[in-house]
Amino acid sequence: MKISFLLHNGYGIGGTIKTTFNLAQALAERHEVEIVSVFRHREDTTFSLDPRVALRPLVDLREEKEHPLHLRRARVFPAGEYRYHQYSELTDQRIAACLAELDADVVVGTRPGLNVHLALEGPRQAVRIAQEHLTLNNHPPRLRNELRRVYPRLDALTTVTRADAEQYRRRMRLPRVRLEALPNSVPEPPLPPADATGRIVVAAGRLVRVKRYDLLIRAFQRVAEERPDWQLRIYGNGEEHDRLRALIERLGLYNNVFLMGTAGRMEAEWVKGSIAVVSSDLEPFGMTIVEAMRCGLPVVSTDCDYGPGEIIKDGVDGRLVPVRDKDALGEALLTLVRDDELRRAMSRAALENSRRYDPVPVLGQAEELFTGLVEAKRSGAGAPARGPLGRLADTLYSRGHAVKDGAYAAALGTARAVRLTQLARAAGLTRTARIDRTARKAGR
Amino acid sequence: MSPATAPATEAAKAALPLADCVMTAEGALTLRLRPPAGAGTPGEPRLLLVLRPKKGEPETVTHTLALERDGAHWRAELGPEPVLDEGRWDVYARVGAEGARQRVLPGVRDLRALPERELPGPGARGPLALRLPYDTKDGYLAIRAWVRPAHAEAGRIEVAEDSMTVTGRLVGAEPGPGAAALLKRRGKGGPLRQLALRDEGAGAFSFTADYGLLVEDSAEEADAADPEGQGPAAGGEPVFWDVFVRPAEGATRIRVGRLFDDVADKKPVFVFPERTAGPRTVRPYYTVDNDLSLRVAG
Repeated sequence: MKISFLLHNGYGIGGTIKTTFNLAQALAERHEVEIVSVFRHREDTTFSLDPRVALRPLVDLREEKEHPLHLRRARVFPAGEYRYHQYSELTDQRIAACLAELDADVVVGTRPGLNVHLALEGPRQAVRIAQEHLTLNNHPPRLRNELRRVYPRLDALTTVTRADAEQYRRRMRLPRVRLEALPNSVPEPPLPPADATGRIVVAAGRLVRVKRYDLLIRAFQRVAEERPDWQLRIYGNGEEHDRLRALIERLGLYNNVFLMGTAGRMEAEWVKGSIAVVSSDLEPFGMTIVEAMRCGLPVVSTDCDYGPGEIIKDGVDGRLVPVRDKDALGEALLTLVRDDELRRAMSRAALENSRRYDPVPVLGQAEELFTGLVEAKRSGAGAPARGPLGRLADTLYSRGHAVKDGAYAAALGTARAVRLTQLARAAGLTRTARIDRTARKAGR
Repeated sequence: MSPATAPATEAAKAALPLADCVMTAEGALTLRLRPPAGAGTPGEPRLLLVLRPKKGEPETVTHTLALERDGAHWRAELGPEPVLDEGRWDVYARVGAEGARQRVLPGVRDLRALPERELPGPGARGPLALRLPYDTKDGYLAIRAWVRPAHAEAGRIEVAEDSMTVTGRLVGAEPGPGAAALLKRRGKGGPLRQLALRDEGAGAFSFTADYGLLVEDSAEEADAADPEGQGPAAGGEPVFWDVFVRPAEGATRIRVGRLFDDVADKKPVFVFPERTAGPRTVRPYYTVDNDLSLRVAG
């Protein structure tokens, strides 16, 4: 198969980039694979990429930042998308031209805005697969509605967790779209696993609000008080850096908590630790959780939407604690810090349980999905058509959620929150409930 | 499908040798190289360690190590010998005597033995030689080396309202009568402050540096240190005080630093609070060589 991935910026750092590289590299063993990167802002990629995977940038920001078309708003890329402000008429044109010329068998979009391009402009002969690395629940209502309009044109939609797939199943009507959870994969690390003897707790991620490293630092205060020989190392850069540094100083934790900057090879840093920690309010997947487990670290994580709960087996290979709960997080860390035997047992379990995220099984699943869809497309067999009642139910069902999201979007866009939550409730929620019931009846 | 349009430097770098390395707690370093592209050429591969000269000066010291073929890889062992002079060593590989040397790219560095390693005691013999492989800013493998006749390893540093308390351990030096911590203002003839050194047993020490000592710079001192009159306190230019330990009366002073862990560049990672002392601000920090100093500014 010829497979093309459509990626926001393959030269940056982030879970989506990493996992796209991993999957592309694994597929390149048997298939012709390229990654189309809408943007390029530097000479080299940050993550290393197997030379068998071609990388093709569409807009070079080092030269085209001031391109007249780049100064004009995007019209195809949806306005409700998180990165809308980075897209433009130039990206609209380049992406459209790129898609029109593709002779791939499978084209994979990797973020909502690019999936919209793919649904509207993707080559007819190709299987068009949208990957969602975030969660439907946390998409802004306006984006949800934009996606609701075009996602039914896709051949498949993959989420990174079963819980998110379930959200799409319940809240969007996608009768001809294959819906599947395809987790991120993490290859076996190139060095031996940690042996649980280190006295370092490791966290890794961009230093942004949602990762809640502020909460983590506060939670670690208890650990440092009881066990001053333990360190917390936080790897990553980001806008929260200075604020976190100030917090470390204020709490007097500068001998125990360190902002490490980015690491070229994170595996070599995980194995210095014996516990990994995730304090996020939201982890659509939680790539670092799997990375740490593959290095033999038990992971203490908030039980946020949706990744941690599907990756970690609480009490077996890590701990799940409520979100935004400093004391629970600190207590869970201390439990592991205090108990060497527990750490060793959890370390072994983490190593064993994380094998299911190896590229081999994940690649197998992806390949099966891709080839199945390619064959179905060639033989002209789409998803089974539904009867008139079913279609009516689809419409009503989808419309119910759309009305709700529409009301929220209007509310957020125009006036004060309090009044408009009431409006949303009046216009959306009650009506949705009614339509849900109608839909269920009609579907029977 | 379009051909790859990978940038040239990326392609050029992909052809370079790449080294994974493992370091033991004792400091023995094993490098395992992925040979460069087109390395089928005859001739023995060698690993070159080149002491980085000052900008614009010629290279002076190169150590050449054998690279043994190990399956598809090349392997080099860097044991206690050769002792690498203090400084930064760039790593190259070369095939055959005629071959051009090539920079080596950093692969995975397994330094997990370092954060937990035991320090040699005060009775340790011979000069202390430490090495730490790291990534250069432009993305190549290099080795940082320290050679010290004796060493004072900094541990926790507690910053109070107007002082800092440093705990540490002596390596290769015994504390004796007249032991002291010394603060010396950087620059020729800079003044010296002497502080009481507390013996915490088994080579451990601590001392408290009152920041007042660093700002009550007398006019005579400034003149003595700086006869041309560009006094360091003038114009609010920052001045720097280097931290030493003198293990006993009359003994050579030993620089305080933090060299035994795995963090190659401490300056941006170990950041201590700034305090005001009189009209100035004082902040302890690690230099680019991971030695402990104080910055007095404002």
